[in-house]
Amino acid sequence: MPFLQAENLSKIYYKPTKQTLLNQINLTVHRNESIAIMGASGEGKTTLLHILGGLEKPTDGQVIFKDHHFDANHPQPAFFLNQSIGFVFQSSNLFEDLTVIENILLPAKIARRKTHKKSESYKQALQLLSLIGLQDKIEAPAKILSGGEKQRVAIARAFCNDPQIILADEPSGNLDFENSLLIHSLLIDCVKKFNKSLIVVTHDIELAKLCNKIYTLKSGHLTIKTS
Amino acid sequence: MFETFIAFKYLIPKKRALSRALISLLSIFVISLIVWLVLVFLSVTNGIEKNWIQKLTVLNAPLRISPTSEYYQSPYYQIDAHSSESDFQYKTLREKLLASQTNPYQDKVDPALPHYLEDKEISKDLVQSLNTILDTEKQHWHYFFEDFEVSAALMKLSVHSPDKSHLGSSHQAILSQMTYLSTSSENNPDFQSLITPLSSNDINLLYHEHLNVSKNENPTAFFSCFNIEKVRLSPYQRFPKNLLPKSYTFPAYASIKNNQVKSIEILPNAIQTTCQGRLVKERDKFYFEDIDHNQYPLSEHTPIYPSEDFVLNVKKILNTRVPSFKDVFLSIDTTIAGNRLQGDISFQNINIEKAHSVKGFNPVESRVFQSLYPDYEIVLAPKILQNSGVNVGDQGYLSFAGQGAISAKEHHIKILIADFYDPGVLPVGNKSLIVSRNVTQTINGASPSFIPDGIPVNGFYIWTSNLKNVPKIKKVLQEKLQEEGLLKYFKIETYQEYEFAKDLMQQFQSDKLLFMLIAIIILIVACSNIISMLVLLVNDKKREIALMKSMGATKKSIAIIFGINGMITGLIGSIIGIIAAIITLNNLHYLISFLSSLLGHSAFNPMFFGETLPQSFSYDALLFIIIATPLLSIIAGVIPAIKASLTSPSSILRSQ
Repeated sequence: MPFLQAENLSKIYYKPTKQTLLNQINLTVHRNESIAIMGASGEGKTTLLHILGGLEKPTDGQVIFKDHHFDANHPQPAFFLNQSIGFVFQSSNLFEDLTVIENILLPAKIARRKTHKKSESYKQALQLLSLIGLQDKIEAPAKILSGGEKQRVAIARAFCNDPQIILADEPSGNLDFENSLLIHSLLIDCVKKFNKSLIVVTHDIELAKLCNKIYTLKSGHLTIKTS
Repeated sequence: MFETFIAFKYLIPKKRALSRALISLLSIFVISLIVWLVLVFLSVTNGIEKNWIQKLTVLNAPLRISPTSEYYQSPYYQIDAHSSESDFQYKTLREKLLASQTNPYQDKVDPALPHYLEDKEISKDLVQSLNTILDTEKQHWHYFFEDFEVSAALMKLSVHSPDKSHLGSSHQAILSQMTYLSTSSENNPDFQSLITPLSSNDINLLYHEHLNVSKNENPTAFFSCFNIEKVRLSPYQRFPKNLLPKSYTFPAYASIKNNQVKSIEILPNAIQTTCQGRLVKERDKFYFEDIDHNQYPLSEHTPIYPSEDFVLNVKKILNTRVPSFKDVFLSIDTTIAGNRLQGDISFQNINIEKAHSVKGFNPVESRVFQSLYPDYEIVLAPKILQNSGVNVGDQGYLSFAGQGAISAKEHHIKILIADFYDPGVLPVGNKSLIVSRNVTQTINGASPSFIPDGIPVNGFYIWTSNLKNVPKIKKVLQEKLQEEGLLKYFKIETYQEYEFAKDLMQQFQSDKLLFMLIAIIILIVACSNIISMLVLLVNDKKREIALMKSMGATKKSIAIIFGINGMITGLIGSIIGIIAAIITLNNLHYLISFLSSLLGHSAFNPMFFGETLPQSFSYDALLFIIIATPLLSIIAGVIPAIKASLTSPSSILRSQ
């Protein structure tokens, strides 16, 4: 059963010149399925991810997410982003002036859930922290963390509100090899552990290989690589 | 709430964002400065206005009832001019009140009436009815009322200005000016607060003036008006020996001729060695000893003079009920140069060093005081006349024209300035003398047609301590007058409607309004600082805004975060400003003396403002600040907040 579906998604930029970035893209993601989207820089991978996640409007076509239809005129409402989607970006994911735990609990705060030390969200956040192995840095300000640690916190945060799908944009793009491996396994493990769907945009074939499906985006067309 | 959580995180200044922190501090500073300025200025204006209204309503009462032209044309008023019972003279309200008959005209005795008064029924006593209404309502509203009279005359005062360069001489000048005359009122509850308390010097002047002008000395009256605490003995005034103790030693000078001491001058405060010698009295010996220890025996009759002013403490005033001051004795108890001086001395020709008038002393109303100067009318002069060299005790006369049998004739009333009063800031105040009712009655009786500047010459004043009741009292009295059919004869005005106050009152209002407008404009400028601070903040936090949006924060939430930031900046500014204003207002005199010392002269005219600048904390201004500042800060915050909420997260999150 399709869980997230893209139907004839197009994105056309008119400035400075007309450029069709995405051309009639169709994509289906099933529950608990992880897919990787690969492609050269500037092919529109991130744009596709943002459109799927509701951060950007498509020029044409629609996204069907949990039986809701979204298109250029009907964008995803904010609570959808808050409750159903967890984003992980390439870098600078964190609020530098907040502590690790505050960063992780931010989606819960936005969802107006209680975040005091005895709350459900807090307990869940502690669980996530132990999962990413940063229990000892719970009250540390985000700005003192290393790049790898920051990405781990970002992953934990993406899972905070228990979303159905994780959208990751080059999660290991700025990291060294070892840290990249750590992030890859963490991301995939978490997705499997919590039964989430995952769409990851990456250059990294190693990460792509860990996913169920690999798509390649080229000249606005999405093609499946292997299964 | 997550918006406040983030907003407070953003409020804490960071080293990384120094420029932003500086702009925040600057906007807080400017806002607090404006808030301070608004509060201080408006509180002082408020204070001046209150002070001014207080003076206005003390002197001229918050409510005034005056007869209309209808009253003056009524047969009730006109009839007196045709009645022998009334000496063919119009009557003032007070005279009407005291009159035994409503209609004094007697057909048999008096000349025929002009045709417009013929057959006119005069049944109702208008003034009596008005008085009854005022008396009845008095119980309910707790006010005081009394009739007043205003008049005008040419005042000529002979002013002594002591010329310091020629010892003992003083030149005389004549001060001549057109003056309004207002009656003093016994019922006015706060009149005392306007009268400048008499200084010891004033009382001394009044004493010597009394000795000058009055043929019969009246110690009884004098001492029932004033309490004497200290007197001063001058050099060349024989020292009363009865004050000296049985044995004493004083540093002294002696004038010695043929080995005989002619006179002794004692110098109580001089150092022994610098003197020529000392005056010694032992049990049975009385001598002068010079520095070479030569002793010159003295007789009991050798005169002793003080070499300088001796101030003696008066313990008690003895026997004041005597015909002459020389029979009044002061019981003295003073210690000078280690010698206790005790005894009684005569009051005659003594200089008063320290004295005060008895409580509630009003020279114009005090008959006892008036009896000290039987030939004079006692008047209070506006305090500005002190600048022209007028002193307590100065004399002069009021000149006015009276209708004689053939032509107008000049009349004089002798006056004596007994004290000064504060007329407030009324334009005519500085030209108003306060006089007794005799004066106005005499002048108005001589030329009844006089009406200065539209100010009613006769009427009732109503004093109430609670100015808020004034409009209510006016309404009630108007209704009562209407019921009695008196409304066309009498006009009721509140202090806001007085012809001389209206302009100033509006001036105050428009000044305040103008300043409020200026304050709002400056506040807008100050708040626009908040805009630039927030624009910087939004630019700085662009990525975090995008992240919040990616986590599902709504546009509203984002806008609220920056709105809160703007509002809190404004709030901090206003709180600092309010605290600073309260501190300033509590220490206003320091500020003024500092300003005065910078300027080298009084920063604020004490004649106008009083010794200290009046201030009364303006709650209106506070309310204005509390509402306007956060409102303006929110408005200032809205623009950057909207900018923040409209940022597209996609474009920011993709740029690495």
